[in-house]
Amino acid sequence: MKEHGIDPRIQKLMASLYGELSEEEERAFQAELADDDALRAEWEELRDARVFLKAWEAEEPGQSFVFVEPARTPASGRRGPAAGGGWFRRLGGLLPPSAWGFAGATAALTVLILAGFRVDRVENGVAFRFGEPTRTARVAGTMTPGDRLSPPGQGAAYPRVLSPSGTGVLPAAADGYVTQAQLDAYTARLLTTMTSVLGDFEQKRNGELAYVLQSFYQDLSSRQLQSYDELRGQIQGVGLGLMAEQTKANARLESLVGRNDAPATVPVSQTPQTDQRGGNDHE
Amino acid sequence: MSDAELVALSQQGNLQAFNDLAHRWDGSLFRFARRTLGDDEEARDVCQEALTKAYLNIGRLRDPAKFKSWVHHIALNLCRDRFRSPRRRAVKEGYEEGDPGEMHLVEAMGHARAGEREERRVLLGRLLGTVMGRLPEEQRTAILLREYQGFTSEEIAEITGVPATTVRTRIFYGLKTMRKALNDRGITSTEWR
Repeated sequence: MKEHGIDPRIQKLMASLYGELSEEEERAFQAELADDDALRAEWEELRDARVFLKAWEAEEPGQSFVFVEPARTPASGRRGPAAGGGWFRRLGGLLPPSAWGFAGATAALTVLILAGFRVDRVENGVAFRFGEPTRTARVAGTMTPGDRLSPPGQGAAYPRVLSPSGTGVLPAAADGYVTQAQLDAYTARLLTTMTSVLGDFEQKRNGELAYVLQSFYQDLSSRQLQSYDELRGQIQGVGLGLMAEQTKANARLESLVGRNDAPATVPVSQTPQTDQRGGNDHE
Repeated sequence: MSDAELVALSQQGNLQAFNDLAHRWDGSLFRFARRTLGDDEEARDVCQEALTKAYLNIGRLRDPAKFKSWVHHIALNLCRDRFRSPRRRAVKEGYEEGDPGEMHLVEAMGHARAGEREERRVLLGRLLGTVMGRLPEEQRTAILLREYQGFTSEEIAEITGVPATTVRTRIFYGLKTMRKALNDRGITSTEWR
């Protein structure tokens, strides 16, 4: 863009507009304005323009950027809480009272650490895992929240928290300081992961319980059916036995009756003769 | 505690002192980046990156009292980097004056009744952002630093690396262009005084 040359009128106008003139200069300029209509018109034009600018408000950032202590340097070899307060104490003091959700997230993070959760610096960035760090990670230095502050500009290795879009391993940056925005994203991701794990666990437990109950019910039903069949078989067996005994008893009775009666009499087994003339009344 | 005192402590490795500085200026940095770039997410990134760079290089700051100018200078350079990015250029090249969004804002302002001053003010703010976005970068930057960040012409000269006279000239022409653009759309300052 073409730069304009220095115009004394413009310089005075702008200096007056922003109160950058001395009292004496301002008085002289006001006298000049009173005598010069064109200058006054230009001055008013600029003043009008500034009125518009008041309408352009920008949103607030919504969150402050808080730097937390970087990790110890591999050379320092020191671990444990930093002088003047640990990582959590410093962070807690900087949090607004409304940030209880974040406090919960840090508590969850503590649980993860106690459970062996590690953030390791690996060759291509930072990896997080449960259990002991890999050999590569040990060489590069393992970082935990208890690591010590190193003054800036000493080439320390700083932890970089996982971004919401991270895939587990992030490229390590030279200026990888942890800010509150990053930490919020990290803790949110941790909470999401923990919630997912707990959800999966509960779902699995419910599935197993349903399976056990279903198996128990099927077994019970099977046993009931089996018992019923057995009982029915026993009842049928008893009935058949009774019928056989009755048949035998009838046969014995017939034989006894046959021996005692005369041959002219009507045999016991014969039914009474119906009347040949009238037949059956129901026919 | 003054900026100079906090900077001195930060230079001795006091992280809390630097956090106090960051907390003092991050809102100002965000608003500057937000108005410059027109995007919340990019503004947050610039703000965070500027503070990180400031922390890493705090030892190089010779005049501790000039922390505010220095960190804004860092933020301005980061904004300029983003303006030079291919993605930004593509967006700018695709933009044309009088686009439907801008026309919609002007029409909406006209339809808003006189009693709906707050609504009109919001619309004017959005339109102003559009108009300012069309100014040459150096004029827009000078206006933003002067009007919203409260820097003097001399301080802006240090931040932008040009003489204070040039700063005043840039603001002068930037304001005139902005006012003309709004007047051409039928918007005058009478209502907003």
